Amino acid sequence: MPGSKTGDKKTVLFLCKCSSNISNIVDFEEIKRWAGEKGDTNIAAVSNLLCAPDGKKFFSEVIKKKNVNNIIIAACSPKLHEKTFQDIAEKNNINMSRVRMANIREQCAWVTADKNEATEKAKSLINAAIKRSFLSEDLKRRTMKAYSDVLIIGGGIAGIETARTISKTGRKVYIVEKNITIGGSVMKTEDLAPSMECSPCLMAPILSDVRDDPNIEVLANAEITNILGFFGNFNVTIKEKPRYVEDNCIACEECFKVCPVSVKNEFHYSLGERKAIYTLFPGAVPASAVIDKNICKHFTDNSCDKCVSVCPFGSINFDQEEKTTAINAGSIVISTGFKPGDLAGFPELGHKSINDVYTTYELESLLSTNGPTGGKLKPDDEKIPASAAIIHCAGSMDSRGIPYCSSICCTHAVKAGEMLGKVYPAIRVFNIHNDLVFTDPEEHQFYKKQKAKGTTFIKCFDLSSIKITKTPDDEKIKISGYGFEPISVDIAVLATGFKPADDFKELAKIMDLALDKNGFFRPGHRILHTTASEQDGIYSAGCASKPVNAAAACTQAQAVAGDIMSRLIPGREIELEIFTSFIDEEKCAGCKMCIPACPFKSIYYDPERKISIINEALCRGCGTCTAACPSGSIFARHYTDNEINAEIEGILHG
Amino acid sequence: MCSGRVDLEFVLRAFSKGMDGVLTVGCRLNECNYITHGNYDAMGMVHICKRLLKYIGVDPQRLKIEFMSASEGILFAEVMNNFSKEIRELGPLGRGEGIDEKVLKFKLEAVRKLIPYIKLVEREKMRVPVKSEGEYQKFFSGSEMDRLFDELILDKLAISQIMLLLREKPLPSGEIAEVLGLNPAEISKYLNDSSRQGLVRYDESLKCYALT
Repeated sequence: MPGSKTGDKKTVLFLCKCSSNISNIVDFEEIKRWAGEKGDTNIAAVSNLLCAPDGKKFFSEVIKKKNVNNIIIAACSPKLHEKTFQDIAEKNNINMSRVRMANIREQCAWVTADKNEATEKAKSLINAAIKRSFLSEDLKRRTMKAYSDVLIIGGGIAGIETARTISKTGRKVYIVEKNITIGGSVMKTEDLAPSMECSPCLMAPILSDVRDDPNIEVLANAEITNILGFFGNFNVTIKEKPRYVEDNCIACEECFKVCPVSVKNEFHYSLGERKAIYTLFPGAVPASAVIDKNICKHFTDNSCDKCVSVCPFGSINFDQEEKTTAINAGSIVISTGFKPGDLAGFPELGHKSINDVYTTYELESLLSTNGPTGGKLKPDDEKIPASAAIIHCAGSMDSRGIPYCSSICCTHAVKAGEMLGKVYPAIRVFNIHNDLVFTDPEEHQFYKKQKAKGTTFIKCFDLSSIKITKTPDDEKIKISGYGFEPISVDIAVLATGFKPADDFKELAKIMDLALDKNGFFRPGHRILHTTASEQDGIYSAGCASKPVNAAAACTQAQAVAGDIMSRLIPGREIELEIFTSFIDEEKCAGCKMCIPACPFKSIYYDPERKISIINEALCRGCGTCTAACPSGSIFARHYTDNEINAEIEGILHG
Repeated sequence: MCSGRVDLEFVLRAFSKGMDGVLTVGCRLNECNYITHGNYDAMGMVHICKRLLKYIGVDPQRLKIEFMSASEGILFAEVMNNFSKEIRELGPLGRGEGIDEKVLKFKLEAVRKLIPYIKLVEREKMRVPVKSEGEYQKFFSGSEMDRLFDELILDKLAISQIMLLLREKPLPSGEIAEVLGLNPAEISKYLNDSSRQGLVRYDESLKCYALT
């Protein structure tokens, strides 16, 4: 080769024919001649197939024998093999950043018909890689210690299953639950469709497991106030609200009897009542009761302390204070559940204005033995309902309510009929539907069985035409709609859909996560990573990313647990981003423009030195700050202005 | 690297080097490879740059942003072919617009000098709260943007050009107005402002404005 223009760098250009994939259109002899004439490279080595075992051996021998320290590979996409060759280079003590690929296959040979044009284009691409390579600097691989503990937000069935799976490996798992006890929505129903397995019976041993597991810590009546950090190193701040009842409470319920204040019970969709001191259900975890400060007479007018005198354990403590805890965890799981769709925008459905019109959730709560009425629709009314109509898609597929199909409420609707039939065997059930959505063969079988039992399925092509009415003279509820004869029934059940939980927005803000157009957390990938989020190390399980049933929530929980356990191994360090940005401290004027530009919250302001600083453990190397910096004092490693300019000029003047 | 890394400076540098068109390509909107959604930053940058180009007499169609995924080879080829066709129709930079090459270089240089300031203004005042293509389009072509551009950038651009012009040699205000294609009253105002700030002075003997 003629005299080198490469300074202290000895540069080798590998030209890979990719069998004939590249060489049948790109003229390798011409490229070699051109490279020799330009003199930017010291060696041009041609390989038939560089990624094959022989090719790799050849690659290794050339860089070792010729003592090169700068490598350009004109071959396929760097996505395919840059890492392959970087690894070989590193084995030969050459820094990975010294290996650069020019994609002359996908971006040249495969998309260019003319031989001359292809060869010229290949020259441009190779020249760009060469010119840029002269500016590259050694980059260090960096690792960092990581926490293998896991923090779970939301103690429903998804959160609990994630915790139980992970705790078996001996890692510490924290469940942060907004409500006063864990258990979630599954605890509000008697049976789980389609198997109609008894839900409290399923949950009871699971809840005891959690209670007795030394690796699981439940922080109930608590919420997340801040999350800092990144995969492997999250720092989460949690606010635990006071319970005013100490942990030694066993929920013997003596205090419930003497408490003079009652209020609608939100846990039972406000259908029943609870006292100012209460638990959600027997066997709750944590077991201890909670005092509702807003209504308790000790707090409102200091006129009552009856619970104190009857408590056999001296557990009441009005002086308990709010507690703030900081927890370090390697990953975070969002399993915050869902909110039932509401019918506020649908007055024609008579919910809350006509007696005996319930949502499926309300019906399940009323018919559950755990529920407000001990399993009956109306405890004081012994009149047995003779007929029921169940309306599918109530408040769904409609811009006034939920615009999407939740995909599991059809099974809910069928289940409502099954549950009614159990309590009132002679009841006549009508299901009024348009689409029928079942997500697996068992659910479909469940529907067929209901049909065989005598349930009438009435197809209504326009569910927005459904009207539920009852005049004071009517004994029965009248249901009319497009395409079917009006029917009169004793009770009407509205199968409402699944909405994102209320706190999704706040959590998304704290965690810097995006919600999809329906308000659920957007998954990392819709096929490959449905339980990952857009932030590495934050996962979702259960209804966080879309409505799912309990079985799917458990599957997701175990998937999340598996992913976390395979990626965070106690004692093993995690690799950090190599191509991070850094700030030239001399040049930085401290304008702070980069701080909001950084989506990873990796830049902070040092008030003493009056400059911005990048925490390179958090930086992911997107380079957005570099473009936002007015003074040009931020450098994106591997993608500096000079490198990018050199590459562009290399292309233009190849 | 994210398309949010595409610096306003890169684009203007390309035009300064005589490129006839600049195409920025980012990931599909709302399908971010990171969590940056920096393609929206790139889109904002392109909107602002188009205004700057228009102001100095360059056809804003010479700059374009497109969004696509790495697997959309056919779309990429289509976009590239269409863009080069459009640019060919516009003719070479400057000549297509009928601007003198030297004047254009000078004006681009004046804009590049202002990049740090433009970045500050962009970050402080020109943020679109809702990340959607429609909202960005609405904001950057709306009356609020007209006002912000007029109030915050136009004056600075004019002054930047005056300073650059006076760096070569002192000039009378009439000549400055002529070169910059602005009316003399505006130039007087800018010169008065600049002399009050101590950036320029009036040289009695030469009857010209000069840098201080």
